[in-house]
Order: sequence, then structure tokens, then C-alpha cells
Amino acid sequence: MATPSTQATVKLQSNDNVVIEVERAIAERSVLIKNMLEDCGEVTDAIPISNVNESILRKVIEWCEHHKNDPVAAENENDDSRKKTTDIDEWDQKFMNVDQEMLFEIILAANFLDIKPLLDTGCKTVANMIKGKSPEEIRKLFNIQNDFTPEEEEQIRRENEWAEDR
Amino acid sequence: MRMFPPKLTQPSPPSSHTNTANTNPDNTTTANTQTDTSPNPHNYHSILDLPTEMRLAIYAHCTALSLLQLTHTSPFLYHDINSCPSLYKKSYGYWHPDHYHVSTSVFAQPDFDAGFGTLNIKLVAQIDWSNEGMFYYNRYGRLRYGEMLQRFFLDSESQSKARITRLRRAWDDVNGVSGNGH
Repeated sequence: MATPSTQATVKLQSNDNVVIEVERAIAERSVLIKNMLEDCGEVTDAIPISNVNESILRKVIEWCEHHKNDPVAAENENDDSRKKTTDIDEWDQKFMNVDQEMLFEIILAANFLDIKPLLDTGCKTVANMIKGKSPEEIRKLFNIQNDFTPEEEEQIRRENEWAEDR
Repeated sequence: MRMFPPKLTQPSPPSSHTNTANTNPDNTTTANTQTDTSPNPHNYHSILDLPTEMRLAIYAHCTALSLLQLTHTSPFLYHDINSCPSLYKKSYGYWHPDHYHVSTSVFAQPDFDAGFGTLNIKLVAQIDWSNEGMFYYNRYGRLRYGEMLQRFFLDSESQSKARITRLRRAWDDVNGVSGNGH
């Protein structure tokens, strides 16, 4: 176990080799980075964040900065089922108001960096995009090709017809 | 009820992802079983491009009605979601005997004879009225309006109780609950 470090900032290096210096407290919103810093102690070199590019890394840091004082949620705290768990605070809604590709990249980066609240916010955003939409609208939204065969469509129709309509 | 198999035309996983054992909670085969969830240089334009684990994380926040609509978009998502019943059974609005008293449940009438093989409209007992109400009514509500009125105004109390008891027993049978645990 390394000696606990008191360094105030850490350097993060994106996969396109851009180094960004951030407050340690902000970087530690990422459990991955927090564990790494705890294990390694003082880190002077930039920490390579593989496969997260500069624009996504900056976005993630922006989120961490805004949420740096949030209490850390206990494990499984949000594990309650059967709830409409898609309420997102206003700032996060604006933050997530990006194109779909960036939204998915943020979700993947949050998962990679182990930032569960950011991952949840991203997933809730996608869930909200789906809510109240028909299959046709969802296909259009996510560019999904309808490749059901007529037989499969008939099976789905049968599965979803009301009993009294038969 | 038999689920049709996933098609071979499903989107290919990004080449840098490793196809390994899947991680879905039902230990069943999902439509796409890559588990390396690290971001990579690939562009993610659609929910279909996401690794399985990320799609499951998104599904976990969807209502039962949303999941049902997703299953109707493509064979890929039909198989992806229906291969994971423990996930959709936890979704908001999925039918459960304990929720039978709530008003929206008058719409739902699980077809126990058909089993619980796939998510279907009869298993959607609650909806998020503010966001899904209009869509639900337009797509499904009109068909059920007569029955809803009948249940509200014409069913006797004993008929209502008998229906709930019958559904609860069937639910317990399907879920392997012994005795009357409720």
C-alpha cells in the first residue's frame, strides 16, 4: 500500500494524447482513478485514459466538477425496482443535451471510469428518449432497421392482442 | 411461447470487442454477447452499437411499456430484451398481483395460458401517465375501453375478488410460490 498522497491536482491523458490537469477531488469522482491514486500514492506522470478522447474526457471532467461535492451514493442505494427512475436534475439534463453519438460515448466513458452517477444519468437520458414513443419513432430515433419478417410481425401481433379481441 | 431466434443480420460487434460469456442477469444468450465495455475509437451511432452491458444498463431504467416498444423495433432488440426476463420483470409497470388494485391495472390481464415467455402488452399493468399516457391510449387504450368501464362499474365485488384470486394463484404457480404467501 502506497503512502497516502496530498497532491492537489492530477494529470489525465486522453487517447488522443491531450493532457488535462484537474483537481484531485474532481478526478476522484472516478472510482477507477481514485483506486489507482490510492494504490500508487504520488503520481506525477499523466494517467493515460485509454480510449476516451479529449472532447469526451473534458465533458466527463465538466460533470465531475459540477458534482464534486455530491455525497457518494452507497452501493446498491439506487437498486430499487419498479420505480419511475428517470428523473434527472436540470443541470444534468442540459449537460446531456448533446448529439446521440456523444451521449453514448459519455455513457461508455462513465462506465470505463466507474462513475456510476454519470452512467445512471446517461442511461436515464436514453430511457427518457424512448419513453412514450412507438416502435416506428424509436427506429427513426436510433436508426434501427425493421428487419422483422412478416411471420415474425404476425407472431408479435398475436402475442399482443387482447384476449377478448381473438 | 417460442421466441424466434436472433437473426444473423444483427449488427456486428465492434472488432476490438471480445466475444466472451455474457453477463446478463438471467445467464441466457443475449443477441450480442460482447462484454468489453471500454470505450473505443468506434463511433456509436445507435443503441444497437453499444456493448451488451451498456444496453442492459439502459433497459434497467426503462418502463415495461418502453421495453415492450423496443422489442417491437427489430428482431435484435426483441431477442435482447426477452432473453432477460429478470430485467423486464423489475421494470416499472410490469404486472404483479400486488399491484392489481391500482387503477391502471384494469388494462392488464396476463395470459397465463400463453406463459411468460415474452414481454407483451398484457403484462404491462402500469404506465407513466404524464409521459406515456397519450401513446398508450392511442395504441392500446381504445381496445380496452369497454372492458375498463365494465370492470369499474359493472363487476360485482365478488367477481372482482374472484378475478384477483384467480390471477394471484396463476401468478404463484408460474413463479413457483407454494401456498398462499400473500
